[in-house]
Amino acid sequence: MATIALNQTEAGRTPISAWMTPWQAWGLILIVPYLLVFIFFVVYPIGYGFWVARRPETYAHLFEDPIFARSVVNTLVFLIVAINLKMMVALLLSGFFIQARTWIKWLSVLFILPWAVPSIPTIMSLRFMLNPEWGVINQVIFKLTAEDGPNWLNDPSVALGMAMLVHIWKSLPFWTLILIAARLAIPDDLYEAASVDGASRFQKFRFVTWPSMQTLFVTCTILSMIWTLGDFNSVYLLTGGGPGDLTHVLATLGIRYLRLDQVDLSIGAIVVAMPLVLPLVYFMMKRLSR
Amino acid sequence: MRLPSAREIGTEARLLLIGIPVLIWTLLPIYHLFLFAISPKESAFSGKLWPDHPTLHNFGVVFRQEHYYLHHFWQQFWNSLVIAVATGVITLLIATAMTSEFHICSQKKLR
Repeated sequence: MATIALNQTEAGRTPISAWMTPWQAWGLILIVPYLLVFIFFVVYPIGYGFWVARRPETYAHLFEDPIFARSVVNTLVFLIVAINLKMMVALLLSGFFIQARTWIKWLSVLFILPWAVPSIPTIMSLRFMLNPEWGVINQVIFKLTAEDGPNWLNDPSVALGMAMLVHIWKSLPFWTLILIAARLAIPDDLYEAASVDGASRFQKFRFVTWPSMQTLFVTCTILSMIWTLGDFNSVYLLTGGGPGDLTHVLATLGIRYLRLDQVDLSIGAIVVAMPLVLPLVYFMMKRLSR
Repeated sequence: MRLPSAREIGTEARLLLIGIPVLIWTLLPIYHLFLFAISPKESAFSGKLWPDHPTLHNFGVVFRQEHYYLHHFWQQFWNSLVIAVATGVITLLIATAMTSEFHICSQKKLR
């Protein structure tokens, strides 16, 4: 077996032409399908997008739009508040889910559901719950207090807050799962040693758990930010960008301009997100290649 | 059977104090979705926590393809199945093939 493998390797190294061994030729042949897919589905659409949004007037027009400024602010608030809140809750919950109890095991199966179910029906369900007139939440508030509940989706800041909650509801299970895996990878010996040294529960977290998880935690936060920049569902399906186009984020702004029949602006809105995405991606790649 | 100590009961109670809110937070929207599914058409928007006359009629409509939008329900169901299985299998195949490639590359690097 070993000799055969060796012979193949030797055969692979004898050149078939001046610049190429069979090994390298096979490498090229095997990479062609991937390259084709990459060119047709990544390079071409992005290149076409840049071509559509090539004129500087597009951006002048875009920056004049007050809705654009508002959605940049919304995007930043969404990234900074929602993502960090979500990651912190995920960090705490991962500590809860690693407890060895049968009922916690069953609970974790149910807990993964929001991430597994399709987003359109569930987000529409949340939208119906928040309806001021016949939604379940305001009906319950009315029964308990005999007063009308707040008009949830009619106030821009409340509506954006609700969109953030929907985002957290949807993606919390995934990040909790990742952090559970990280916690399980920490050897038990470290905790035993800490116990012997008389460490309190907080000290165990501070000096054992956190140092082992912090790299992963920061990487996850950045990755989540990159993904959330394109999080179209939780904003658009819940608020539709409204009221008065005040809860748009950069991801949904493209659809707004598309509806207004301004394709160049809609692509422009995405291109403007690049200064937000690229540093995050660069930072991410640096961390991963360390 | 050994009776649990006060300390154990305290730990369990604290775990439940986290577990129950987590359960409600997770299942509420999904339960609401289920509520829509078992409500008759006219009371779907009543905002009740349990319909007065729960019904399986809606499922019948879907399975017998009786609604205008659902004329091809089983075809669409089949499509979803094909896409799910095919992407799963193809992704696994390609990814496995690529890891073995990477394996060879990393071994070469070591030599």
